Parts: sequence; C-alpha cells; structure tokens
Amino acid sequence: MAPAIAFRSVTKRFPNGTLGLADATWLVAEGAHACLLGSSGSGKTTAVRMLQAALRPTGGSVLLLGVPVDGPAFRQARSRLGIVPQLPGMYPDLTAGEYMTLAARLYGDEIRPDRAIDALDLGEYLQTRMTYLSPNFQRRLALAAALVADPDILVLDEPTAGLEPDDARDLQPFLREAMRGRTAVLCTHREQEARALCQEVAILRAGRVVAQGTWEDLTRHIRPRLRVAARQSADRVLAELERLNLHAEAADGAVLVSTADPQQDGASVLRQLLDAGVDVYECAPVAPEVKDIVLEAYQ
Amino acid sequence: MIIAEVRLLFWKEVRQLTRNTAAMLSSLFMPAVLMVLAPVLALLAGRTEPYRSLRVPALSSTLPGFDLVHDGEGYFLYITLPFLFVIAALLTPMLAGIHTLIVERERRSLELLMALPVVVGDILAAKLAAILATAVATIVPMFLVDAVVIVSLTGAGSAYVVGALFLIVTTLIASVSASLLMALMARDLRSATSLGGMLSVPPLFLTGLCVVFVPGLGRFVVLGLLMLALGCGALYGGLRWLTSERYVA
Repeated sequence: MAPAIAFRSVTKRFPNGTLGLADATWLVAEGAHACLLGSSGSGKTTAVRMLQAALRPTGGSVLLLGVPVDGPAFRQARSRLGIVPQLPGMYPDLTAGEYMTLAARLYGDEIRPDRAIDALDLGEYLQTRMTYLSPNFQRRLALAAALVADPDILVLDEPTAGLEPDDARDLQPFLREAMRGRTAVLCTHREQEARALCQEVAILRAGRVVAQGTWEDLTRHIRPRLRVAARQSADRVLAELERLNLHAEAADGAVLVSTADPQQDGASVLRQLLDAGVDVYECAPVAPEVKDIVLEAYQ
Repeated sequence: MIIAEVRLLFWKEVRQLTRNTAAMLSSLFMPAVLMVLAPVLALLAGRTEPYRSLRVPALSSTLPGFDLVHDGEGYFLYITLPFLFVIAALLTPMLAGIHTLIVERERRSLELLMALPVVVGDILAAKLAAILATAVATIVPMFLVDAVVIVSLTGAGSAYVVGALFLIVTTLIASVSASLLMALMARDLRSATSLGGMLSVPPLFLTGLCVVFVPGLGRFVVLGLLMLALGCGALYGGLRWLTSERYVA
C-alpha cells in the first residue's frame, strides 16, 4: 500500500539560497499519527507548503496519497487533505459562518459545514466576524474548516502555537478527536504535545530528517541517565563524578550521569559520592524524554 | 472545477473589497478626482475665453501629436486627458491590489486561504480578477460622465470616446498585471507602495511619448496596444521568472 504522505530525498532551496529541506526522506503510512518535530526554522512549514503544492521541491519528490504534488491528479488528492495552518490570521470582514461556507463549497457542492461546526462547538459564533473570535475559537474555526469534508489526511501545523497554556490544553481534546480514524501529521516544537498525540516521530533539524521512528524505537537508542541531586552545588557533584571517570552534565540544579545501566550502577555511584562527602538527597534513574531524543538527534 | 474554485474565491474577494470602507474610499476618491472632476473642469475651462484663444507654440505645432491641438479645448482633449485617464486607470487597481494581495499576506489570513483545497494560482487568479472587476466597475461609470461631457460640449465625437475607453480598459489590464508583479516582488506594505510607484513609470513614459508623437486618435490605439503589451509582459515575466511561489515563500 502506498504511504499517505511520502517525501523522497526532498530538497528545497529558496531563491535567496536558504535551505528549507535537505535531502529529506519521510514516509507516513495510511492511518498513522505521525509527528514532525523540530524547532522554529527547521523546515516543518516548508514541508506543509509542499503538501499544498505551494512550493515545488528543488530535488526529490513529494507524494500525497501516491500522487505527485506537481502532477495533474494533485487536485483530486488535495481534496482528501485537511490542513490547519500555523498561526493563521483572521479576516476582519468575514464571519465564521461565511468562512465555513466557503471552505465547504471549495471541497464540493454536496459538502455541508454543519457537522464540523457542531463537532467544534462553533454554532453560536457563526455570525461573529472572524477577528472577534477568541484565539481558542479562531483555532477551532481553522480546525473545523480542515475537517469540513471529513478528509483522509489531517495536517496540523503548530496547532497550539501562540495560545495561552489553558487554551492549548482546551484544544487538545478537539485535536485528539479530529485525528481519530484518519492519517494525521502534527508539526510541532512542543514535545509533550507530540508525545501525547502521535505514535511516530520524525525529527527535523535545519531541513534534515535526523531521526525517525516510533517513540519506543528512538528512546531505545538513548543513553540511560541517573539523576543525582545534592546539598552541594552541581559543580561539586560534577567534579566528584569526573574523578570517578563518569560522564555527567548539569541539568535543572541536579546532575545527569550517563551509565550503561542506571539501576545497576545507581547504588555504587551513590555510595562513592557519599563516601566523598557529597550530601546526596536524590539518586534515581530517569526515563529518556523527548527532549533527550531531540538533543541526541542533534548531536 | 478549476473555474469553480476561482469563481468562489473571486466572490469572496469582491465581498471583502466592498465591505472594506477604507479600501473603497481610497480606491474611489483618487479616481473620482482624476476621472471626473479634473476632466470635466478642464473641458469646461476649455470653453472659456482665455483658453479658447490659446495658441500652440510654434515648436509644439511641428510635433505629430499636436496635429489636432488648435486651442485650449484641443490641448485638454488630446494632451491632458490621456494622462489623467492613464493615471486613474493605473492607480485604482494598484490601490485595490495592495489591499487584496499584500495586506492578506501581512495579516497572515493567506495561511487560512491556502489551507483550503486550492492552489496558489487559483488564489492569485481570483484576486486579480476581483481587482480588475472592481476597477472596471469604478472607472468605467466615471468615464461615462466624461463621455457625456465630451460628446455634448466638444467636437471630439464618439470616436474619441471609444478610443479613450479602449485606452482605459487596456491600462486597467496593465495595472492589474503590475499588481501581480508587486505582490510577487514586494515583501511588505512599504516595499509594495514603493514598487507601485516604480511600476507606474513605464506606462507614464509611454503615455508621454504617444501623446507627443502619435497624431490624432491613433494615440489611443497605439498607447492601448502598448499597455496590453506591458500587461502581458508583466504577467508572463511574473509567472515565468518570479513564479507564484514568491507570493507564499
């Protein structure tokens, strides 16, 4: 079965010389919930632009539902794709209802926006001008427009960017529900969000896919850590660990120690630090976090 | 199907343009002055004694474009009015273009539009069609006022009206194409405004040449064809070399 989305050795160089994507290969299987994780400027939005056929690759190919995005069959495939753009601006002179009607009619004369409006609880705001909606409802409106034709693929480009934490949290159930039962791609720099909503991840850095797989695949290759916190400064702990020939680094007032097996080595490290006069009050293995995966990928 | 998408976007653009009071006023005020007030006052002034007895200097009378300029009325009809028509027809689409093309990108509502099942070409085609339609709907009725005044007060006749209308329509087309160039080249509102000024120079230069060197009503035909050529050149150059990617990149 052809992947729902396929980037094959895609390079995008802009006229000013900036590299948007660099030999990026990334596949999303049908039905998968995949995340494109990367910091600002890593190439996430360039990838979305290519799925919209708004940007053409300088090299390689981009396929949507098996169809090249620069081919004649693209429009048909595009009608099966819903996109929630990053930080969309709102029209001051259109109401939410008018925008939803436009979105529905662009997907086809037989499409009615009612179901998407109900799903996102937008019913009472249809007569409201788009700029007067709260940021949360503006984002819901963009999500409703993406879902209006019940697309096979949903692309969410930083759907919670620019929202207050409470608003971002309120939006999460809607995102989760929107992703259910279809292929979904989440572009984000928010690690917790990525992990909460997706099973697969591709990590982008400076336009390159530096790692991809399931979270389990990626965390398996991360060195386990032992978190050590003491009454003394982190520098003192680091000095003692260096004397013990252990690699460590300071993090959030504590020290993360790299060992082959933190559970096995923990007791020995703790004993040696206490013997050296370091007042350790915390010494525990820590599970690899998304941040670690990203950092590992960046190295 | 493609036409259906462009049509839907076109009506969205028209609806937004007509709802935006500031954009409407700014795109109506200047054309009203240039297309109605200035020409009618000029033609009325041409009937007054000081202008009726105006004599063309000897040097100017040797230039082909001054063949029909025998008095003040002729001067206004064949020298002043073509410039006013060209300036008004250039300005109106550009002002609407700045609002429709540049502001859309600056306030990031373009993101919202691109998230819908359309391609950038559809968006640009709909916007340019809406700019042309609103400009025609603004300028042509204003010109009809001039036409009534020209036919009733001067000896220019209906051939002059048809020629001037041809020039206005072709200049509108050139200006819409220039708006596309502006959208593809300008990064923000400020650079769009500067670029709009720069893009107005070639049509105005050609107007000057035609007014001086093309005799009689031929000036409208030659200048109109040159405007069409400029418009086609801008459209082809914009899409061929700049590409629609620049609008969204």
